[in-house]
Amino acid sequence: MKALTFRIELPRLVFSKIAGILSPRAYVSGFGAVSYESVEEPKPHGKDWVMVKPTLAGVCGSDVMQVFLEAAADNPLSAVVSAPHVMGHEVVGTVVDVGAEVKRFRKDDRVAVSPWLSCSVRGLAPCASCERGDYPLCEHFFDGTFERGMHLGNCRDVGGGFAETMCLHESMLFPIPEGVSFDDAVLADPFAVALHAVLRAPPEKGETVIVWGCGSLGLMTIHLLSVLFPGTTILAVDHKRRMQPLVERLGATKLFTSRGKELVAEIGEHVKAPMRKPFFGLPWLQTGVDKIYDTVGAPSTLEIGVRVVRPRATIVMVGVAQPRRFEWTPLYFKEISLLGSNAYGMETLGEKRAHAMEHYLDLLADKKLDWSDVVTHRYPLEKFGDAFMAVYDKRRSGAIKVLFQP
Amino acid sequence: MRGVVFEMSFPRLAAARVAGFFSTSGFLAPFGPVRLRELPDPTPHGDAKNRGEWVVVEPTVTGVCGSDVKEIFLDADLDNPLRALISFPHVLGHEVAARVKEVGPAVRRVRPGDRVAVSPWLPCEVRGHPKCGYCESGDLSLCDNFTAGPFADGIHAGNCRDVPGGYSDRMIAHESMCFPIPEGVTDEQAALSDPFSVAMHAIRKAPPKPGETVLVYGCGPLGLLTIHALARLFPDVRVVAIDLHPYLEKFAKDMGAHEYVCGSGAELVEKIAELTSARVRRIAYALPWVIGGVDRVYDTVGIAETLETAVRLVKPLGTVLLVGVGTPRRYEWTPIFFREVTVIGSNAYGIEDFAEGGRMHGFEHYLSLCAAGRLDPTRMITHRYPLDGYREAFVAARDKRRHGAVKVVFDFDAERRKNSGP
Repeated sequence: MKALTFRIELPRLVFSKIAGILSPRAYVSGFGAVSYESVEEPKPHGKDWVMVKPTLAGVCGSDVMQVFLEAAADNPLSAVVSAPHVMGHEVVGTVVDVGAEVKRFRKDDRVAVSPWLSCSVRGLAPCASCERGDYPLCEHFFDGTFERGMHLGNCRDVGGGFAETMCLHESMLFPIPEGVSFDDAVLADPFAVALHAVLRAPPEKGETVIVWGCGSLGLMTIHLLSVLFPGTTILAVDHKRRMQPLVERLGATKLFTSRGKELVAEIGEHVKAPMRKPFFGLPWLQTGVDKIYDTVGAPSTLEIGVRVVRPRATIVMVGVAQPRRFEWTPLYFKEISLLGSNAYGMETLGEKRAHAMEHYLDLLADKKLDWSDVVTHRYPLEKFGDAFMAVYDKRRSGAIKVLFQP
Repeated sequence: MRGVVFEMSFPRLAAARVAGFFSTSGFLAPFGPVRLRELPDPTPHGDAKNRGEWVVVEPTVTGVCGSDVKEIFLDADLDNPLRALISFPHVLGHEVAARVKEVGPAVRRVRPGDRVAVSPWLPCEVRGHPKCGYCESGDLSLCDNFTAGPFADGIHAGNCRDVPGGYSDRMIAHESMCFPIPEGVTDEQAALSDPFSVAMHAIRKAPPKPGETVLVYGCGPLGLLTIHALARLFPDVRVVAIDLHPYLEKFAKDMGAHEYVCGSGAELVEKIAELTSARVRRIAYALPWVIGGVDRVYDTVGIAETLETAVRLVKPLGTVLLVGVGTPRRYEWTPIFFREVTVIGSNAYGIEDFAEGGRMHGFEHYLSLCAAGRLDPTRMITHRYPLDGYREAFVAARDKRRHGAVKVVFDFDAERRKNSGP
């Protein structure tokens, strides 16, 4: 079968780093780490595995960081990936074959895929984290019957969704309810990430929160806050002015597009917080917003974030960016809580405890969400260069969510 | 009066940078920003209405805080935002035990001759300002009004032009800053009220549960006081202390640590993993992490290296308390999101709900526990200097290992005894 693979091979890395200086296109030329090629058909790792044909697969920001080799050498997650691997972890598809012990699925079922390769998928007894339903905190991403890897798209032995076929453990699949389209269901992974981040520190009634970044993760955070937590004042921050109509339609009251000092001043004016101006460095607000959901997680967003929240505020860090120095003094001075948030698992929403993806599919079936305009680009797999470039240079492409149609 | 003054003058800063390049004591050269100077006696603040609420005190013991050492040796970055809240020149020193000399007509809490621990914070009440929401709820260090009148900007005595700190013969204090020292509690014990309250406040923000293993990162005064509070007030908790230097083991154990681990980086991760029977995930080019890990880390250093290691030693969904005031630098923080760590900042102290004693100021809590014999951290005081020995004092506090120093204090009574001697 044909698939998009990622290879950590020295010549490919060297080529992309050097040619990449001239043009970022080099990373997606086919001579870089990512290429479109024929690979072996995936095989089941047990009798409870299912063959799925991907219909749509979303390009995640982390895929793009990987393709353009944007990770620092000291990133510890290199310990939980194995290469070469087939990329892609935001997948919906149709069941084409089931193993003898598969109980929940039949041929032709439409499914959304949870990509996490935690204990049950690896055929292990659940660790303490999996027991609680915190699958991304699993202790066994390195153990069990197949190669290390935390989720689809970074494991050598379980291929991702940028491929013609996948083979997955039954527990990774969630049936798509009737009336819910593949187009909506394919956003299950980023929605679930956003849901988990919000549930790490849900807004209290009447609070003012900032959603930092208006990529698909940020947009979903905004929308789910406005749908599930009515009465919350949602402010959005993103440099892209063109996002304003969409951001407002999804439920934010205002989009801030400036940077640095101006951004601090504008937020201060909006929430009527007194501004402190040190002689050097950024100004900061004495009080400020109640919570931040930082879907960028970059040093610059954290540095401004700790300056525009009130004392004892919470910042949920859900974005994945490269660490750099930032001036973090307000973190202690204002006694801020910085909460990391990683993916999703079993979540409690209202009275109901279910997998985040089930919550999402239920909300879709109940017509509670409206995502039109979020998916902007679709490509066949062989056009992977265009697809990754569209995400890499969103300003030029106008991309929000880019999908492959394998 | 005499006081150790910090002057924000660019020629003096530049001179100290140059002289400091050659030797630590160069930062304290006469043409640098830090000098012992003869100053006019401070006069109590405020308008006719609240002037009566101030007292004049004479410090008896003043501790040298790590933040003073950072300031004196110019370790702060230019973009530190707290510069917006302080004023220069100022007399340094904010860990003060003192004797009351004079009291204003409206003062009720203390009388001349009383021994007091002085809380240095300058929030609404001290400034004669209607209380902000934070002061109202007792969170004095989160006050909205550190820049409001009637005197200059300042977070606490020791960084405010108009309220001199305790590296001096004489201070003024609003009566709300004064906490009487109970009988049987020494001035040295009382001078540790400030750092102990800082440690206790941080612990209270994420108190350990019975049976937990917690790490205290750093065995400077703040770390040792954190250990002391944990060991004495949370008996079912296993306290593991970490620092770089073997000489600190004695102090850590003395304060109540169950284990002392010496090291940093990968070596430290391995040692902690062994101590807690956790697996280690070793990674090419990167710091390893433990699978599993400890429940909580109290990081009393708060620099990039300690945070980078702390987020790898704490278990998934664990908590890292950031109490130390390090200069920000890059660190590899991926485990914060990947392991869903909570990093909580902690700033000073205020009026708090304590498990023992109920609602009171951090100083009252500490002093009452000292009086009851439950706490006595004074063995960490290793060096005592008269005020005119300020250069040696600061160098000892800076080059701790060379001097075997932990807590350095100014001892004014020794000086007075000497001066009045035969």
